[in-house]
Amino acid sequence: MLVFAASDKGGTGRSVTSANLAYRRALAGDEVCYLDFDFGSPTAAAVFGIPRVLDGFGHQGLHSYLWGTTDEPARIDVWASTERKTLRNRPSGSGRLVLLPADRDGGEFVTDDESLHRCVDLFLRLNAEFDVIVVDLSAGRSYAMDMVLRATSRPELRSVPARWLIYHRWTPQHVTAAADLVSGIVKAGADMGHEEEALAGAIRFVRAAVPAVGSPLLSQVPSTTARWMRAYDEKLDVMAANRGIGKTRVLGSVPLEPVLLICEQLITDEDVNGSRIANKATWQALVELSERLTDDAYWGQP
Amino acid sequence: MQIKPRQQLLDIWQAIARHSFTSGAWDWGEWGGRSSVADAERLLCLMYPATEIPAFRLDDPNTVQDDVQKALKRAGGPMELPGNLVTALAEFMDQYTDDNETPTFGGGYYFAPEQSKDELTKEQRELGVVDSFSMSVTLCLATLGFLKVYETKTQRADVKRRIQELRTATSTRLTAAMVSLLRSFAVNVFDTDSAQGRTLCRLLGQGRLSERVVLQQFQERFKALRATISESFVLGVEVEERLRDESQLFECGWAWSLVQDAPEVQTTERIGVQPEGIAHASPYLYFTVVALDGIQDLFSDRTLTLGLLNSEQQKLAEALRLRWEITQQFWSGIARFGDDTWPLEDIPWRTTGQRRLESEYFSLSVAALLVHDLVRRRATDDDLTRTVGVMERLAERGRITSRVTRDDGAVLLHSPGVTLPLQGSDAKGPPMQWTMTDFSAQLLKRTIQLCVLSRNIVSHDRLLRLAEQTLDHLWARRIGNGESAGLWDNVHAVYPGSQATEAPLSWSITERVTECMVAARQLYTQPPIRSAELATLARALLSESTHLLGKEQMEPAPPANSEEGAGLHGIEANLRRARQLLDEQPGTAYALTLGVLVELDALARARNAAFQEV
Repeated sequence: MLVFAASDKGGTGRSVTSANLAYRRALAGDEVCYLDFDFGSPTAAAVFGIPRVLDGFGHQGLHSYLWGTTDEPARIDVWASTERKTLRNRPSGSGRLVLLPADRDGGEFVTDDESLHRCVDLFLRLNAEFDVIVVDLSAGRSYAMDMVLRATSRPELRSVPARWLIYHRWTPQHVTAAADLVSGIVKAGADMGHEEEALAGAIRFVRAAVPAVGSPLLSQVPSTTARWMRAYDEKLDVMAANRGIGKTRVLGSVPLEPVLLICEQLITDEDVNGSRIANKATWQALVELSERLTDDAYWGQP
Repeated sequence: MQIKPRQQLLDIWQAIARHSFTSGAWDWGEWGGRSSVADAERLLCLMYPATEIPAFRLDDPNTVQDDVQKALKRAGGPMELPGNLVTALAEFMDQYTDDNETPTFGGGYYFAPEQSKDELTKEQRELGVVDSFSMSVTLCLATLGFLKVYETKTQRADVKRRIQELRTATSTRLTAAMVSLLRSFAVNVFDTDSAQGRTLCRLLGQGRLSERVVLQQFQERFKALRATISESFVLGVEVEERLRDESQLFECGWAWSLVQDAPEVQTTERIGVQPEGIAHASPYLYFTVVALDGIQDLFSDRTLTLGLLNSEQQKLAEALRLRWEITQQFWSGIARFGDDTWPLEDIPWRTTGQRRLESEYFSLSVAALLVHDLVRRRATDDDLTRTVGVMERLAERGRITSRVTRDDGAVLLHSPGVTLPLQGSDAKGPPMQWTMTDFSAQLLKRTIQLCVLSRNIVSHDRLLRLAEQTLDHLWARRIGNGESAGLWDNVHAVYPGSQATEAPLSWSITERVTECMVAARQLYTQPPIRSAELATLARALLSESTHLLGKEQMEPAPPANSEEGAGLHGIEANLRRARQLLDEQPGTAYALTLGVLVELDALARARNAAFQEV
């Protein structure tokens, strides 16, 4: 299954949440690979604790592959290469977790038919090998997004299930931007030959960094603030519903979490139960998100 | 126990979700066979709050509120829940439509034989009953409104098709229920010398007035109503003639079922066969109250704004409205007859038909009719205050607010309840009877309605206190454990001496408590009662503090961004707010102004201290 992660704006925690999602799926036993398609600022490697990722590899990242300068993009086994000790030992029963990084000095680029062709080819090959393929796109509409939209509209990829996750923060501006982004995606997709309803039905939203009242982090806020937040939350719910991104189209929401916010890393069980730097609620949200990714109850029509 | 409609309703919903849904599907259960009354009551427990209270709406999965969602978790996620409701409602409509496409309103296991050795016939169990007609009106309106919104929120083609089918079935059932209500309305005319006439005269005269005086006052008081009834309704020739005779007494209201020889109602809507009526044309207090409760939903703001009725139904609704108004006026007149003590205050009430029964229950029914009339007229507090006393005495006599004694007869009011013989039911088998056990719930509902209406602090407070005590009593009657935990009715919990009941749970009590909670919401949606005394005081305080603030501002202005400056701005803001609230919430305005005065005085004292130092 292809999972495309997009966001309306920067700062939504798209990369870090998608990486956690991939990690959770791998822990649950899926074979997972993670493609860094954020060509303008490829940073996914850092989330997995592999900052020096392409040192010594030269140009063998996804840029080079799509440009045609290398025939096989570099693959990095996260379990083996990560610098984080707690991730180092692959738990038994878990699946592979493979990162396909982008070139570090690649930059955003215009895609052509050749790169489209290579993209389709890559997706097909990966699909044969992996259960879940997470494709991390950059914020907003990008060339990479158009390329994958075009790629998935091709007959070769028709039979490969694809799902879209749109990350947005829980604010009026983000809600508007996310709704606009999606109508843009659906419209562009329809122009490229996607069936509009099917494409729209394969899109779900992830509310990120949600300051939920009652979460441990916010348990100390004054009661007036809490009351205001609850009222505002209701207002946002109505606004989101009117914009077509109401509760029925939400796959999950991730609470405000210092570990995600400050150091953008994978949240391991050790972080929650051992050192206790991360909140249980965040861990719970990530687990739910990863389970719902393949739970058809969350992908139906209201 | 404080009345908290939102929390208490959610408690009820959670219990229903646990009881009635098995992995998302509505489970009708087996007990006692089916009854269209019980099943409608059960669905209404969910549908009524969902349509009456905006926060409880279930028709838009995108805006279902989190606490509601959590309470109904067992009934399905936000996406499935409305669909599950559509399925349950469709099953209901289907179950109570016979092979001729005629909606049925059978009382089922709610009917009981008068002699316990008798066995009711199947035909008898299938007889329509006013409870079912009335519940169906409410349920159908709730369903139509629900579908109207849900239809625009779902994209699933199969659901849209099911909505379409359900809407047709619901609309048909609504028409049939309205027609049936029209056909069970009864006007009963009788002579002063008949047994019934003598009872009514005694009731109205309360032993102080002679029959002749009562008749005279009756003629005067109901002259206009008598004329309206004989002009507007199609009555039998004989009844009409007798009604015109001023020396005859009459009463109007609803019989227990379709009245014998009631003519068919002409309608272009297809509602199948209109069955023959068998009920005697004598109104029952209980069924009259029930009918009025349902009929009023036909003219609610919601029905009008959502446009839930088609033109044919509107015609029927108009006809029902006339009967609704006349009945209220009539009974309100009877309840308050004479210039002295009201007949209603002479507890217990004696019924005129139905073998002259007497019970606190009938006093409560008459009070309910009076409350209906008061609400309809948006009455002032004069009549209302007298009713408060009646309610308090009923609660006392019903052992809701007082202790039970050994072998207390009042307990019978709750368990096994008050029974009514259903006159005319013996045409199809052994005579039937109907049992009412909802004294407490009925009392709570009327108390809350009065409380909403009252704008007098003393009456309002008395009513609220009474409502809270009654709720305490009802809340204690919830079933403690088992699959029905949290629902009603476990009379044993409050009256250990009462007979154990065999019914696992009572949907009629559960539904009535739900109704009470929906009505209780009105308590808090309207502005609080404004106290004139407080408003006067607040105005005086406001004047003083505005003056003192002005004086304070004659001093040199504090530096920008200073604590002192912020303090003065705060005072200004508080006074602005106080002035804004003066009319609506004088108490809050008063409190705000008091705080301002304290702060201003601190500043004044500080300044004075500087001068006194020297």
